[in-house]
Amino acid sequence: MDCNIDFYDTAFLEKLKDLHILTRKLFHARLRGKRRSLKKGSSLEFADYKKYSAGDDFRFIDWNILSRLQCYMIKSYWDEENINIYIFIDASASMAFGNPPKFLYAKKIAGSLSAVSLFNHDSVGISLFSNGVDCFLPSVSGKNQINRCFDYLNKIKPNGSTDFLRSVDEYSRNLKDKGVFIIISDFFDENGYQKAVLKLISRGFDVNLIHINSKPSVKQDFHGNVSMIDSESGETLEINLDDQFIKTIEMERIKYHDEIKRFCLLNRVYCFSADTEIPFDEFVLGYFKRQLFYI
Amino acid sequence: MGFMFFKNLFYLFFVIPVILLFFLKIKRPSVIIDSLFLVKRLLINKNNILNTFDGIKKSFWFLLIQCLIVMVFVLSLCGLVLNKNHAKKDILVLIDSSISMKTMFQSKTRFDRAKSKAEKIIGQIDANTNVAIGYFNNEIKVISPFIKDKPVLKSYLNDIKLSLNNGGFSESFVNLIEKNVYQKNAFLDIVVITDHIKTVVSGNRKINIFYEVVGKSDGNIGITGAFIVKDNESTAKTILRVKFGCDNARGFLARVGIFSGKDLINNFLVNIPSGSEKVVDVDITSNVWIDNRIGCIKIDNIDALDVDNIVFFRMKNKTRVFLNGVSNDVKRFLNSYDGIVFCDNDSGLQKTDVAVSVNECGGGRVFAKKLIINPLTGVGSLSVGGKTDVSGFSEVSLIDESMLLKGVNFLGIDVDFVNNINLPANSKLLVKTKSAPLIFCVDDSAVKLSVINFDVEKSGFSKQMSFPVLLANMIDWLSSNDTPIVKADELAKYLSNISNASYILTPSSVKTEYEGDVFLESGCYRIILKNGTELPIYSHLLNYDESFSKSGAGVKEWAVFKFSQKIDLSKLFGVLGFIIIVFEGIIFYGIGSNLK
Repeated sequence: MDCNIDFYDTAFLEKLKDLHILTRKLFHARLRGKRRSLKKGSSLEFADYKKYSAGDDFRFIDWNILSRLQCYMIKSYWDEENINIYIFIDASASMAFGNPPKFLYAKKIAGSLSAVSLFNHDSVGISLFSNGVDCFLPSVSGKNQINRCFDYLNKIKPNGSTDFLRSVDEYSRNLKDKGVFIIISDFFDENGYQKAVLKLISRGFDVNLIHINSKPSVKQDFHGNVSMIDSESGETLEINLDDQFIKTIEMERIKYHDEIKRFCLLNRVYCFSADTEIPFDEFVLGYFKRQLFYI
Repeated sequence: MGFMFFKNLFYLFFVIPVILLFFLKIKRPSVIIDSLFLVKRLLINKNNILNTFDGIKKSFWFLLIQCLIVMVFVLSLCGLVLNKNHAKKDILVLIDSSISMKTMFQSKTRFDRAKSKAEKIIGQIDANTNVAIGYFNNEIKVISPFIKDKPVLKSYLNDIKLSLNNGGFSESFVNLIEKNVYQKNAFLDIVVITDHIKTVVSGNRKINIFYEVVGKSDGNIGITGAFIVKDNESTAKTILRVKFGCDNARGFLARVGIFSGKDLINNFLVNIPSGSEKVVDVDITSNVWIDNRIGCIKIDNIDALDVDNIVFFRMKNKTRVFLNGVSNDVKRFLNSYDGIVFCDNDSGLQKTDVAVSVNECGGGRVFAKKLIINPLTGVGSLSVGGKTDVSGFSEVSLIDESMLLKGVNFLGIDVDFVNNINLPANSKLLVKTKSAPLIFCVDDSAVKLSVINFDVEKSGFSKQMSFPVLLANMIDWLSSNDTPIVKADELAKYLSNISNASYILTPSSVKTEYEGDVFLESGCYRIILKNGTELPIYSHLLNYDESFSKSGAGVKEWAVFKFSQKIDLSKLFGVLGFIIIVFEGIIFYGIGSNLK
């Protein structure tokens, strides 16, 4: 499967420049950026008054208050920093299926999100996981790192089975800074994704799930009694395949997605459904915006 | 044996699709899909199927066991064909020569049919097989040595004559065969040609007994009964002698009740084994039944009479009406038994053997209820039975409409009975017919017998009218149509011209000429007169049996051979294998495959 993407569509990238990823939390970060920080700093956004104490910069004394109240008060302002955005892409074998392949779709989304983040001076870390963290791109920031991200995304290929909990645990343990955690996956994990998500929440991340959906990979011409082989585990299951059964599976897929959404709603996690049948640019520029992921 | 070979081969055809079904499942196409996650989720939610079953299913050893079961199944079916012992066995052909074989069946006696069947079988037997001929009634006799010469065997066959003894073929007979006929270190097949003799064969004998049943409705239940009343002067006792006979396959258990007025004065159980007769003497001295009341039969404990058939002898002199005022209890009672006989004892019949029979031709399950008043006593007759015979009435409501009798085949009416009948004012006889049943009108005084093809609808009679009015109308109708009035000896002539007739009533005037048993077979009487002549009413049977066969009840002229040998283990495995394979087939190929 050729999963390479041409990210150098300048027109598309231009459109991404106008976007900005929303977060519901404030995070500490190391670099200066455009987002309000938890720290007080030197931005133009007024934060609070405090009494002057020795050592404070007297340039920030509010002279109007001094004249009125004969009291030395210092004006404080919010600091502005960037945030860390961690993109966690499912690279298990099941992602290679679909039309277009789910993994290609996931990579495109990841690339777009990276671009949006880097355009806004945020840091982006990309990681691939299957039954563990396969490889990762350490957090990078700056517009000039866009191509690095794209190159990284182009190199990776799906393989192996899915283990959410192990992968998330392995990856998040090493992260020093909290930030926005975006998981892009089809969520086909028999052990469940819930524990992994709850773990991320408990560690202070702003978690977002992007559920990549595609129609059942079973083709219509495979009718009758077939031996279905799981691409991840190699497990087989003998099934009498017919239209009714395929329809039922499709219903189950929708049901499963609803379950994910319900879980996310309960745990204040954003969940986005990415159907591979929807054109990619429409999804990134339209759907995300509608769902208030961008502004 | 030649006649066994092809039959077994036929069964092998059933194996082919099973084997195909079995092996095709291994070669199913594989489809790689992204994940079985959703499929499993779906199936686990729908059915709580154990995953371990999947594991077992794929096991090599399990597959091997399945193959072995298929093999055993095939071999067990082939076993009978491949068994060389069959070819080497000597064959003894035994013909039932008991009295029951004298019964006519489709214009030939059962005995004749048995002989011709024996000839047929001998003709089919391999030329190298030794065959002997024998017969049995209450004893067994082998009349020929074991020879291969078929013409000689046929001549031996012709020497067998009918006996007047009862039939029987039991364990003791088998022992006898072993002692006298069975040669050491040799196998023996016995072909018994009979009319449903129940046989018990046990032990590890190297003898196979095959039954050929002739001249018998399969599943027929028959009761043949007779009674004699004696005055025993020396003991001053009055003895009722009841004679029961049964030649069906399973015998019967009858509850006999003796009535006087409303009371059931005595009742007892009679167990009549298949192919035997039993005489029961009942002391009725203390129960003088001179009671002119028209009483109803009342039995308090109906449920306790848990028997197949019930026979009632209503001990009442000159009773003319027997069902008047039948209570609901009795009605239920009557409906709950297979066969019911009502007999009126006429004091004038001291030395007359009278047989009353019930024969329910239900084709395995007795369906209709039958009521007979002994026609030979001059009382008259009403018979209900054989619903399967479509030529009969479909519905009759008699007297007070409380007794609804379905499936009437014939109606026999005694004119004398008609004249003296005492019916309630609102009595009605409702008759519906699909075709023309046979109705006889018997007049004791005139010694006349009317035989008509009477169709209520065609005759223009009202479907619902009182019983006397109907009779009067009927007699008028007979007169106006110049219906032949015949005497008893002319009966045969008429019977041969009657179609769609099912039952025959004999005239009471000839009662003194009767001697011997009167049988009811397949719904018809068989009457042998004193002088040995037999009323040729059997010509009528042909029509009856044909219509009976068409109606689905089925008269099997040549029954299938029944193998009496023990079930061997391979057969058991075969059946087990078949069940497993079918089960597997359902699981793998049907909807069941999705249930895993």
